[in-house]
Amino acid sequence: MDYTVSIIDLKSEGIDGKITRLLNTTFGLRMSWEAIKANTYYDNSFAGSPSSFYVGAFKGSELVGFVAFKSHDFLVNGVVINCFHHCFVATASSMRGKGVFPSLLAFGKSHLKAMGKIGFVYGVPNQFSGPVFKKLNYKNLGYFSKVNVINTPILFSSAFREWHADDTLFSDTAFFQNDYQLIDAKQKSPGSNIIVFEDLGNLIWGKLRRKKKGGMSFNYFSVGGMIVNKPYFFKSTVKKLCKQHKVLVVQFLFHHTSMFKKLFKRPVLAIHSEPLVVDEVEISLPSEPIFNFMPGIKDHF
Amino acid sequence: MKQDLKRLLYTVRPQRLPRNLVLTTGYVFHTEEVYNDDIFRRLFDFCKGYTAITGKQAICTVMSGISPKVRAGMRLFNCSEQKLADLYHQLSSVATIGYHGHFYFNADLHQRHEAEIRSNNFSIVQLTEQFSNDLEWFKKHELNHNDLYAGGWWFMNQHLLSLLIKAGFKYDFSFSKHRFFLNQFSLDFMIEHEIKTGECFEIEVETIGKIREVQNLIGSSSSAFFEDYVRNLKRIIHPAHPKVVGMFNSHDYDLHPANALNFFTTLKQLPQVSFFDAADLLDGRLNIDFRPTVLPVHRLQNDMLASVR
Ligand SMILES: [Zn+2]
Repeated sequence: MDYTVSIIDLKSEGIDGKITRLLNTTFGLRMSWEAIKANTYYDNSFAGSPSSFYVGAFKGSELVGFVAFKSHDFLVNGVVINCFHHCFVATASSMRGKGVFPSLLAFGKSHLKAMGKIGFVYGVPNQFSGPVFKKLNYKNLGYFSKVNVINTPILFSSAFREWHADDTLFSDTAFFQNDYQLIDAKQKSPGSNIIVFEDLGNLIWGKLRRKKKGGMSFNYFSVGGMIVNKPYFFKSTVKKLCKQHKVLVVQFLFHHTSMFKKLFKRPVLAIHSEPLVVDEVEISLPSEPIFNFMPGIKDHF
Repeated sequence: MKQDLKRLLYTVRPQRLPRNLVLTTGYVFHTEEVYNDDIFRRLFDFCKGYTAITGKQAICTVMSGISPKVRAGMRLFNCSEQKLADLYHQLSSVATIGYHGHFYFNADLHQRHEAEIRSNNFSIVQLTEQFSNDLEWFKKHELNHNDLYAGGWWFMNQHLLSLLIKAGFKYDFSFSKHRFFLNQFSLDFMIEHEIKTGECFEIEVETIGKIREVQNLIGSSSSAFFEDYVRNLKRIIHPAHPKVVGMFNSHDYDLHPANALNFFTTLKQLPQVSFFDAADLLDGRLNIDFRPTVLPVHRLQNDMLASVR
């Protein structure tokens, strides 16, 4: 092995430039250090949970591999479970095929084990990095499901399942994303345009985008997360959101095990989306875990 | 215009309580803004009026003076903690005081909706800490909450039940079948145990203890039409359970005293309706059954999480 792996000391001279260069070269992007840090680092002091950290592969003083471990708290039955999202994984082209990527992940995991009380590490890999996770014995927990709600008179209602008096949306075993924490983290990103919409105890947050299709341009709301306490009113909450922000399409993506699927008539498995892969650190997941996850848990949302 | 239409509608299609309905009812307030003198005066006078009509006292579940939501209002109205406590003491001369809790992920950011703890998204640590701080405030100001509780935002779950039981609370008014007051834990529990609207029950949280539940029926705050209340009530009553025991509820700040008192005057005249208050409950004078239910202790724990706690 002609490189060493270690936790990146963010105070070391010039490290911001090295990370920025490696990521931009690898991904062909022009991100600023501020944007990279905002997407990958959350200090998590709100819950008293550990901070995010970065792992680097070095050849001498040169940074040749990078992965961010972003700290996230999930909630299960009121218990805060600190987990880490590994994201922005990059290896310098000169170092490809030398096992840098698995070494970075393995180092990160042993670091987490030493920290103690960490739930799991997760990622949402694309088709290129997917096979690596399989080799590393990650659990592939499958895809996200998708519902596009089109705000036109007939199509709008057809997206939602009729909610009956004896339908409930409660779980004391599901993993919930911590929307309070996620919104806080995303709002701290420079240029963040997160919208938080509340109605009768239902909360939907996400990003408003402008889309062009077939010569038409329209508002598109991409949901990052939601807290649904009044499912009976969910449809009207979405309607009000559309009205207030003049939205034509609202996109809901949720992990296929999420209980949010009960709210919709025909969620479609988004097989072209990134699957959720998980590596348990301290907890053993049940055989059929429920992840109430939406795109807000992803680094690039 | 809307009022005229409604009057016309109810003339054409009158609303009456089902003939076989036997309604035993009380009143619970979610008291949140009495630091505002106008709201305090209105609530105080209403409670006197309510007792004059029904012969019973309303229950005012109140929020502690360290709740961030209340503190923000207190600052605005220049009301000290001592003054708030004094107002609650005054209120206790015309109503029975109880505890009304609202909980947050982060009390400092209470004005953000995502920080509100309402159902599945909650944290035991924050809940426990804020609950005990609230009760500490009651103690410090020698305020008796009479072991009565009503949940803010109708938030309820197995952990809050346990906290209430451990703190000695005897009655809770947080469960409801009305669509505005639904909580997903509460509804799930009532469905699992086939509890009908207006059926009282007792929850035994295994190894912790028991608490009694009197359901919330409908809000009674603003409408001038008796028929509106009847219509709302009929919507949640189960035909197989015409013996209904439950609470009407209102906030202090959205109460329309004249309309609400008119409603109770009309209700009082119906032979099928009777009233109770906290004293009836706490002294066991009321002849109602509380169906026993059990909440298994594993609902409070999770083996998977033992290593990360
Ligand atoms: Zn309240």
